[in-house]
Amino acid sequence: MAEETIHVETAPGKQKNYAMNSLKGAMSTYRGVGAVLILLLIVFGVTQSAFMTVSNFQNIVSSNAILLVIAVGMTFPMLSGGFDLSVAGTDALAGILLSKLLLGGMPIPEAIAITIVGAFVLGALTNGLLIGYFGVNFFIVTLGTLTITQGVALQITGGNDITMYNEKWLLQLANNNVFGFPVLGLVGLSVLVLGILVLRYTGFGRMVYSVGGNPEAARLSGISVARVRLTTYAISAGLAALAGILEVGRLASSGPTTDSSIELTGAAAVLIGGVAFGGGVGTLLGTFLGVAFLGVLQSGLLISGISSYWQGIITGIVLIASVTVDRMRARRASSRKIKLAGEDPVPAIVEVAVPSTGEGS
Amino acid sequence: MSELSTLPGDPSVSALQSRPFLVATVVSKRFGAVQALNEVSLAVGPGEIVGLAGENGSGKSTLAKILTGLIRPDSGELSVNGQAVTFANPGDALEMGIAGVTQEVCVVPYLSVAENVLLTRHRRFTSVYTLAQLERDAKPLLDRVGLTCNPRAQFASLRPGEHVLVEIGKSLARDPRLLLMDEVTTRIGGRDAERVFEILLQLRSAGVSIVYITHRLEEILRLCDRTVVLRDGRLVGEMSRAQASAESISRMMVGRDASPYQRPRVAETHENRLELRNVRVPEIVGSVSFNVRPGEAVGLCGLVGSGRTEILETIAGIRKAQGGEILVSGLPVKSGSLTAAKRMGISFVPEDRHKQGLLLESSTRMNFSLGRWRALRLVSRVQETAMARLYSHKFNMRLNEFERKVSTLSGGNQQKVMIGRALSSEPKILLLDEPTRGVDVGARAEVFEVIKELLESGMAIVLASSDMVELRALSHSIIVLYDRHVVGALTAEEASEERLSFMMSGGT
Repeated sequence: MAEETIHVETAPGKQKNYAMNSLKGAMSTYRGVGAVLILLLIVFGVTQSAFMTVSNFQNIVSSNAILLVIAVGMTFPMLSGGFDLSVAGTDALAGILLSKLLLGGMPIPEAIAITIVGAFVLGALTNGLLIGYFGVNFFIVTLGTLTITQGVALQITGGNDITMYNEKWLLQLANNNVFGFPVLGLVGLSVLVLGILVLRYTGFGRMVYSVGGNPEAARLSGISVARVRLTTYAISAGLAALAGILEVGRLASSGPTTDSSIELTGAAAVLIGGVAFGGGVGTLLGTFLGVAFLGVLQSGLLISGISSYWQGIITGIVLIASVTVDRMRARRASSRKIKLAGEDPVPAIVEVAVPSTGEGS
Repeated sequence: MSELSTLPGDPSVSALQSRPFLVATVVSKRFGAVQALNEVSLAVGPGEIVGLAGENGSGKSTLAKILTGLIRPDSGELSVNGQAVTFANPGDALEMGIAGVTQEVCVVPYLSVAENVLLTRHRRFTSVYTLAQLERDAKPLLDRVGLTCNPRAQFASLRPGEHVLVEIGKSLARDPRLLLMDEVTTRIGGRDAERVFEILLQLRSAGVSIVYITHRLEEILRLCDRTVVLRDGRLVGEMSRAQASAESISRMMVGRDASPYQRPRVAETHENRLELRNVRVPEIVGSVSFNVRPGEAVGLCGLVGSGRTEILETIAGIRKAQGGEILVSGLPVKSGSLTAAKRMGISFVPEDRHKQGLLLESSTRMNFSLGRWRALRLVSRVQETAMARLYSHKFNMRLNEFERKVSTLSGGNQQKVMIGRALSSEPKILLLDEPTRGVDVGARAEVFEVIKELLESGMAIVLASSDMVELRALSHSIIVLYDRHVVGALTAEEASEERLSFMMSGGT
């Protein structure tokens, strides 16, 4: 292994290049969503005096922190080549479970822990087991668990919201600022950073990418594809439950329709952020930018007095445009590659190394 | 080349009696750095069965795809009945009376037999038909290929042999004047193959031209009025039925005279690194036994589907042996467990880089380190890059830029990444499946060098391939497979290319 260190040491220039390259890589990866985000910030900043204010940004952060938590969770199954539609149901059901536990007199930390761990285990045993181990299509399974969890939520509550005005600790946690930064935002960003660390620096993170990139290659390399898939659905369910808990604090209530269809907003954020629908490509930083884009757009439209109906229209256009541009760029790159390969000079060692070409006769 | 003069083939013999139906003139096609087809000319007369023979990569399938409109040639001309044509797609070829049964799947498994047979007929969006009408239309086609199954049966529910008959029926739906058959019998058993031959002979007497592509020499001898041999994308000879023999065709396919080659000598030891004792491999008839010593390479020679991949996958722990023992340095390996095999020092490089090997959208570094991660351990990019650099340097792979997406590398470099990854677990036994498939000559030579170095350093290697040059250059002994049987074991000295080609094509 001494050789190994020698190679690292003999290439200090490469090291610097590597940092430069990864910066360049990041710039090109996020230039689509990044450009649109900057454009929005400039347009709203110039035209609306109320936009570029501390209180507005506090508002943007706290009202999108929950979407960020959901989107970070959804990024995991999507990177592994799947999808989790059921997060909205898990989110609502987790809020209801927390409310019931707290109203039943359980202390807050225990109630939160039980809710999150319960969702994690349930996600593993339903979505994870069926998709990972039984190979059932992810769309069908998670659509099913979405309607089931939403149905259970309606059944438990009789369709009514549960108000939670007495839980001062939780409410304060969700609505206060620390040094001017919303607590909700801190929780969201902590989840983001933790997620980035897991995906970038752990073996599990690498496995998620490889399962999404080429499940057969992953399997032949000894990776348990089923176990990796199961874990991604457990993570997305666990984070959906955390989102549900934060929502209870923010709204001081829980109910069966809380955060309904957040799975679609979350998916839009993840996809705008550059995660490939087929898996294997994308980052949580992209997901963050996707969420930021949606948050800035919503706030800007609101301040400008433009109908909020435009939000859906613009989101849809940006989503389709960003994926289309990506697709076209990839196609151009691959045609360029074929040309390059055609021009590859054949190395001179051919003559020497190919044996038995028949001079022997 | 000197061997051409020794060929019994004389092109003048093949002069056609009547006006040819299809003529291809100096057709060429290039894929990237590979000249797949180089100025090949071919004429096919009505009512003639022309055999197209050649090794893997000789250009047979490329020619077949050009003739059926699946790909367009870079240069050269096609003419049908004396009229110049260009095919933009298979539909154009069908219009001109050219249909093919190819290796690609061209049926819809969930539709009925009748619907599949008529797939090329109802091609307009506005076609309206009833089930009864459909069956009425399909009936004569099914009769022609002798299929007695219910026309409403789902295609997927049929036997593989019947699948081929349905595909032939489908190709007859547009009354072709020329039918192209690409390796159809490799998928089916003997009785169904007989049925296919009967159909072809009937078609011939009805004046239909047939281009028959196969690896199986006995089929060529039996069916073909004339045989054309391709090698490295060039047409190297033709022979009439009278001139053709299994030996003459395989000599022409190989086209080289054997020359002795210095392969690394095996260390003087009686220790077996890998030992297969009567291993019953799933889907292979009989049992497989062989030994590999340190520094020795054993070749598994056979065509696609002959069972070579199954043997490798069983050793690698991907498939479970149904009996027998696999021993590494005398210790038995638990069968059917990839991780157990890996722990014993067995490393496997699969055949299909794109489907089984690489994360195409990820970096070279990621691909190098695939499979070395533990879920709850941290990974380090710097260390991964160092590992990748170490192994690419050690085997002279001349790779740098490890952050580049692996899909942008050449086929040869992608192959090196796969071999490098397999080596990074410091294996004692390396299993290689078609290590030079789809790489250019230069990269191929480099892969050869890597393998030779490995042998010199005492690696035990099992090499599965259909490429005889590769097998003879690298392996010390060769096991030949044909149609899921082990048909022979030869030492490197006994294994002439003619003999290998003959045996792996089912000659006895």
